[in-house]
This record gives sequence, structure tokens and C-alpha cells, in this order.
Amino acid sequence: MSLIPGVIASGISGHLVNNNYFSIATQTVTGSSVLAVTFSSIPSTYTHLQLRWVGRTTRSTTSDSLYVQLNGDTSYYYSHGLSGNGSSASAYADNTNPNNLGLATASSATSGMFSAGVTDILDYTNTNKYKTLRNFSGFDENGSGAIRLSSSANIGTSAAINSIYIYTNGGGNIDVGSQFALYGIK
Amino acid sequence: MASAPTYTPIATQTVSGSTTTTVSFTFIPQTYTDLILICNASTVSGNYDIGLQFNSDTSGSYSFTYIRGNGSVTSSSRSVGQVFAWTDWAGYTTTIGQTITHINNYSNSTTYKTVLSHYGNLGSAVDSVVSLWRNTAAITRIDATMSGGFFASGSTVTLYGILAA
Repeated sequence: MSLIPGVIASGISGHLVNNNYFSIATQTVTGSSVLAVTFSSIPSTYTHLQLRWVGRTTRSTTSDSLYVQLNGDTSYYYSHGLSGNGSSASAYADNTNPNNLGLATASSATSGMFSAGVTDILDYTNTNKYKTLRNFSGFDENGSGAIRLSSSANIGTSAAINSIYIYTNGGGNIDVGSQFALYGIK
Repeated sequence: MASAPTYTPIATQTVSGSTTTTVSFTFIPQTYTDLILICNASTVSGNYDIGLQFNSDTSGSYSFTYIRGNGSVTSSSRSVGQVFAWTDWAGYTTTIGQTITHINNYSNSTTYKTVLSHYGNLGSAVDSVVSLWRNTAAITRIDATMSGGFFASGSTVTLYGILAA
């Protein structure tokens, strides 16, 4: 076993040095739960966006879903996904629900358990394309849990994305300790 | 609103020789929001899992759920009471396993840690895994351990830090 302190090993050659990944804003839920988390006035100076989060809701279940609206558009979106629940894998298509961002734990889960997720929104300023979200999220609750890969497209508009509104599946808020961080990639 | 560039390389380990079972990152700075671990590994011989242990915790406080496609079928399974967060599978010689692992909010000291991994291997399958470490401690050390064999020379593991504004 070789041990290399991180700060020393950072001098090793061969790193992928990325000077094109920037933090735009972070929303951390503190104090009390909130109905939604919003990123507004998103700068149009990047090529792609990435949203990284840990999430939990106050819904009286062990798990929940997080939804997202782009630019305040409340219309439904086309989405496809691949899910695994620890027993079987399944695929789904959906155009009757809001845009699903990913999975979250909920209030019946053991305290301290949160989901994690990463969402990519490519070419978000292009006004000639519908926007597709690519989502990777999951949670494990030590005997239950799920993982989901999904994509969803907002086919109602090709407008550049300037706001992201994140909310829950219904019946609950986004719980304390949840954190959503938005990044821009040049 | 905007900040300095992030996605910063913290350390890279390149395996030499044929007797390495564990690649370790110690004294991980607590100055980032998320960690990303990229593993590109094969084995000296045989096929083995690669698991992550945090802060040298070898107790059975890890569990994971995964989904898999192997070219023929899709499946999902889980394990509890594990001694590592499962992230990867590495094969022999050219059957290199490539994994990107997201460790969000790693320095938080009030929540359990949930870890997401994407893994692909030319010779076997593509997996996505979510692992739970039932411990609220901030992660200061990561050991990537091969379950049975040895890392092949040239295998690389790189740790990055991402800092949110």
C-alpha cells in the first residue's frame, strides 16, 4: 500500500487540469424546509451547465422525486429513464408529469440519509434546440434504495435557459440539509 | 456570482509494479464541496471488484444498490453490511475498468455519505451504483482496494475537488 498525502501528490504530472468549470451559485436549505429552490438570472456565458446535489424531502415516505421547471415553464416534458430498485431493472417513458430531476430520500428514511444527483444541461443557451436534461441520481437506505438514469426534453420552447426551479413530487418540501450547486462549463 | 475555476486535481496515483492492492488518498483537504474520483484500472490477473473505504472504516457500515447492463439483459441488485462502497470492477490486461465516482458533500459532518458511480468495462458490463456510508464524519481519507488481486502497473486513480460558490 502506498500512501501519498493529497497536497503533496498534487504535484504529480498527468492531471486533467480543468480551467473551464466554474461555480455559478449554491442553494443550501438551512433552518427550515422550503417549498422550492431557485436559480435565477443564470449567466449565458457558459456552454453547458451541471447541477450537483444532495436531496431529501419532508414527504411522509421513504423516497420521493424532485421535479424541475426551466424558465418557469409549467408544461410537461418528455422523459425516458432506466431505474433499478435492487431487485429488478425497468425502463419508463413519461409525458404526463413535470420534468423529473431525480430521486430524493424523504422523511420516513433514517435521519441523515440523503440522495445524491448530477444533472447535465448541454448547450443551454442555444436558441435553435430543445433542451435535454441528463440526470443521474440515487439513494441507498441500507436495505432499500434505487438508482435512476434519465433524460428529459423540454419541447415547448427552444429559449435559452435563464432560471431553474426545483421542487418536490407533492405533499412535501425540500428538507434541511439539502444542497444544490450549479456550475457552468466553458 | 461567478468564481474562479474549480474541478481541481488533488492527487493522482499511478500504480507501478504488480503487488499493489490498495491505492490511498490521505489528508484530503476539506476545502471543497464535492469530490470526484476517476479510476482507470486493470488487474495483474483475474477479475476483481474495486471498493472504496472512507476514513479507514472497515466495519460493515456500507451498502449499495446498482443497475447493470451486460449486453444481453439488465438487472439490479443490492448488498448491505458491506466493508466498502462498491464502485468498480477491473479485469485482466486490456479489460480496463473505467469509473467516475461522485462523492457529494463529502466534508459535511451531519449527514451520511451517498456516493454515485458510473462504471464501464469492455469485457463485461456497464453499471451505475449508489452506495451509502452510514457515518456522518467528513471524509478525510479514501482507500480504493481491489477485492482479491492486484492493480496492474499503469492503473491510475485521480481525485478531484469541486468547490461550490
